[in-house]
Amino acid sequence: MRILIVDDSRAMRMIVTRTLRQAGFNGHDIVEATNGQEALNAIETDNPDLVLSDWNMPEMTGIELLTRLRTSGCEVPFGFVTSETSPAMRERAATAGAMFLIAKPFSADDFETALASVL
Amino acid sequence: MPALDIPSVGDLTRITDDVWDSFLETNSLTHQPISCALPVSQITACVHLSGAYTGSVMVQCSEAAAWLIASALFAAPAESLSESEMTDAIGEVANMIGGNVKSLVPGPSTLSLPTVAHGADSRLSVPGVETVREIAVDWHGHPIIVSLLQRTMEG
Repeated sequence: MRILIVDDSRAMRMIVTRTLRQAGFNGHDIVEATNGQEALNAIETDNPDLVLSDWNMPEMTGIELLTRLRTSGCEVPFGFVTSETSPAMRERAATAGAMFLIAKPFSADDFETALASVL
Repeated sequence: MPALDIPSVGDLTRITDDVWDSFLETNSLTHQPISCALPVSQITACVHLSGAYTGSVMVQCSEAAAWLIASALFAAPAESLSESEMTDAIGEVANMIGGNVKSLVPGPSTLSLPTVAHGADSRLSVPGVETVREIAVDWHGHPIIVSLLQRTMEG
């Protein structure tokens, strides 16, 4: 499978990649984008099987990205990995079509729980 | 006088510990008196909250500590990392603490992208706010200060 990791922090993209491996999700192709706009381009080019996205990013936020995807008919599985985890944001993410929201900081167990049904 | 419905010192401590436990080193922090001094050459990473709660979350540490943090987050020797990777790493620490603080303050509010100031005797000041919560921790001999600020005036 191909996984698109979207985060404006390079450190966090590396941590997400590392945590996927620690959670036992090995052998997947990883592609990266630094904001929602880059992610839109990457989704068109790389056709990922899963998107793991930060919420708060320059250019285009994660929720704007998800809304654009669903509005255009793209149903790629989508989950947030974000430090902002209020009940209101969780509800907004679910309403927009996100499968899950993983809170930063996170553990390999959090990834295993959220991704077990996807990967 | 801070409002009662803002995160407590205990909340700030728990959030900071969670970040360190998850991405730096488990049980490597010890808590210090607030009076611990930062070195002259320091880093300040800051995120701002705007809305029902307006203020900032600041993380201050020495440049040496910031390079150690970057080394841990990137899982790479500090000498192999660039300055932008170091500021990215300390900015992400502020973002994680700020995002978790945002979940505990009155909403709705928005969280800014991180700002990082560094260099000899650098200071990052946010006009019109006061520090309402502050903790200091020691990480491998490096003091790290985490502060929650709240707006005190309009304008």
